Amino acid sequence: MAYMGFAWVDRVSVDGGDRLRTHVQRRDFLKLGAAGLTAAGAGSLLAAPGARAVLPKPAEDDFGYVQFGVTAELVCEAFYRRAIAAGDWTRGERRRLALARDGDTRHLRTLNAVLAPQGPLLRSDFEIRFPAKTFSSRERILAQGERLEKLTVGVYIDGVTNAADPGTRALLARLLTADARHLAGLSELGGGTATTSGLQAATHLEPGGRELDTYLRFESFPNEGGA
Amino acid sequence: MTPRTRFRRAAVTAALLTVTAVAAPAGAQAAPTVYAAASLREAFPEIDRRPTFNFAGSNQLQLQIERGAPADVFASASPNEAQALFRAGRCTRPVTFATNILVLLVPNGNPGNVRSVYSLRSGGRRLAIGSAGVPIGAYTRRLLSRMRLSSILRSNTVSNESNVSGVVSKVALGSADAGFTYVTDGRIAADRVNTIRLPRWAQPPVRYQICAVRRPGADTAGARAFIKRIRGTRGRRILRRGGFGLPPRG
Repeated sequence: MAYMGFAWVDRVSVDGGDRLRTHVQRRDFLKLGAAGLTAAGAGSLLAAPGARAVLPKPAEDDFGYVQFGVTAELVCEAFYRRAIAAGDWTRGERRRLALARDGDTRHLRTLNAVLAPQGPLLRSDFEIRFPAKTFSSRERILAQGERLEKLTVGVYIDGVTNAADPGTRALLARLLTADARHLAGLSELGGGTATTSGLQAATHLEPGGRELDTYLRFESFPNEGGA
Repeated sequence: MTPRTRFRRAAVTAALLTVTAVAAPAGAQAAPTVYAAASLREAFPEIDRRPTFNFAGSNQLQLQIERGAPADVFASASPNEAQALFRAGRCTRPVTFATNILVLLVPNGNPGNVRSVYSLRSGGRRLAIGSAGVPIGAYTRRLLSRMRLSSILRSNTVSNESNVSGVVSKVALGSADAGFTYVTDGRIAADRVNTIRLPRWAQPPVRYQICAVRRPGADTAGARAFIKRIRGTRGRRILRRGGFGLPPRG
């Protein structure tokens, strides 16, 4: 960073030509260097506490968003996996879907690390089921994908608003950005644009969880019990 | 008695003694002392009725074993207790043999009018849950924090039971309007309670682990044989019939 102060002067002097060179005297040059050093120091001082602050340490009920996120990302990952295998995609489209899938795998890993003290989610914990004929046509695949991503994005928005821990809020915001991109990508693949759907509203955990549950089964249980 | 007859008798006696000697360890193997989580109180005796069983909260059993209780097998409702004993060199490496899910039980007739877990947000009800140290209590608290419902532990009157049987009893007797237990407990008390399902996405992973206790004089062979029976085809069938989930065969 300290170097950047000098680099700026170098670049400007090269690009700006003689006029600047004549105006930048030795005293000014030293001032600029000192300013660069100061900025670099301040930057590193600001960056360090900032980096510490974003480490997620969920407060009691923040785990709701983390748990929802890890389960939703698991479902999204399974969706992209099946969508790539089932759909009639161009090479470019397939690559975009694969990028979204890989992104969700990373999100899953990140959220599971946060959840680790409570017992991380294993892929074998759930059997993931999609409605019949979901993967029978390109339109159906994209519609299902958008439904899932909207659900995930909606709950992340709620989490960014309501999570108590700043680190958890920051993590949810990062995930929100990434999944909003996935949503925009799916919309574009369907012939829409990233902005056609407008600003997404927050989805509360209760209805969001109810919807997410429709994709989940406990494979190993003979009866999941109760109504 | 001819020498030939005497020889035959001696041979028969020797053979009997040999059979007894061979049979004795087998008999010892068949009856280890099993310390198991209270939620296994129906399934384990059905799989093998010979051992001496001690059912209680996994944390209490762990403590008893640490203090030298004469257990040969330990089966806990969460990995924490069995793994702690393993780390302390008090049992063999624990293996997962069953899983479970949490449900909400209400007494027959549902006097508290609890329709779902979200009904508990309004507060003022009597709620039976496990204490924080016992697996069912820890799982319940995790589930509630995952549903952003931890506040219901403050807005309702909460009992802290030392094991899951206590929670079931409170609900079945009508001393509580609702209680959090495993799905398998709801099945056992199905004639006295109704089961309300809890969201799948919020379920904490409930994993049962079993190990052979290491102590002087432990019936190691009997413990191994019992663990084998639990993890065997018949054991898995009975656990599944009792409502437990099963890990993949390993």
